Amino acid sequence: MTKDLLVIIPTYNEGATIGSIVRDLFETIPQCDVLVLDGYSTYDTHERAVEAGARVTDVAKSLGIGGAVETGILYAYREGYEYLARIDGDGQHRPVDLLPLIEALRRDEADFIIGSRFLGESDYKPNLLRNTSIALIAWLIRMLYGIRVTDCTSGCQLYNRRLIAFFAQDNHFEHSEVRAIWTAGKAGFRVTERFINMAAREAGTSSFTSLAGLRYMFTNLVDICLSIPVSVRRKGKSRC
Amino acid sequence: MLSLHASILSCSVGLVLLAVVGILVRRRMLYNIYTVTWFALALVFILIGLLPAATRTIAEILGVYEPAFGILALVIGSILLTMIHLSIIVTSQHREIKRLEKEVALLKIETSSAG
Repeated sequence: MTKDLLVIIPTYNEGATIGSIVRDLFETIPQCDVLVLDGYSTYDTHERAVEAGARVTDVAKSLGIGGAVETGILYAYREGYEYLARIDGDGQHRPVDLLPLIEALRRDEADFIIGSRFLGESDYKPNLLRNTSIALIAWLIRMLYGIRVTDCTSGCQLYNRRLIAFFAQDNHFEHSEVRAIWTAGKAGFRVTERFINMAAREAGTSSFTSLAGLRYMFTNLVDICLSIPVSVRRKGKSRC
Repeated sequence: MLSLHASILSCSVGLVLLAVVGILVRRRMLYNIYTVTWFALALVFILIGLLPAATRTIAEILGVYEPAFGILALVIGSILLTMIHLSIIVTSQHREIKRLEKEVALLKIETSSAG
């Protein structure tokens, strides 16, 4: 049976915000289902999400946000959801801001829609390190794959059924925000962006510390560089 | 040319390595599939010990005029290859653990919905 929209939220110690996010989602998008993928939080995230009416499961924190999102994609695929939206569990993405993106996906404007904080005036301003990383990775994605994105590390991504199936059926797919973009683009899926306001964090601390930021940038750069399409690599060789 | 002592030492290291890996496999502490690089390394040590003249010839062909350095480079290279092999194993095991973890997570949703 085909279901409509699944919103997945990877969390770790987001007990202060997750309840209100889930309730807000049900009020704003009544037809959606919400799946919280918790990394075995040390306090009440799991309980708060269940109380708010979400389906909740645990995915080992060591698998990272990527492992949690992959689980959500697999669930959406097996349960037959038409659309999947992934948002952060820290309250930075408001459900009401998600509506135009969902509508764009329903109108089949793209297979993959990214909520970008850079296409308008967003409340949240990333620091210099993060801005530089995002700009560099976005530039590489544009140069290598011809995909124009401004917010390649956005935690707000929406997929349609075709893309859900594509990611779920690839046993070797390792999800990261950046990898999802170029993998989808490389496979011929239509990737586009819409503005989404990103609020300042409501509570808790981000896992994206300076060290984690450097690591994130390094792994993504290695990842993109090693995935260069053969035609581009040959082209590069002939220039030497 | 390797001295007799060096040849004996090389053979001994190879044989000890073979014995240790063999014991680990017999005790089910090591899968057969993961012994390839270790057995190959042991074989290299034994061949170096048994064929010192060949070792010298190979060293000269490669432009290494002191066979001891050649052996050292070979050992380091073999260890690096072994480490790469182990990294491949770790990666595939991590992928398998991840797959199982995802299945467990999905089963939890199923059981909590049923309950």
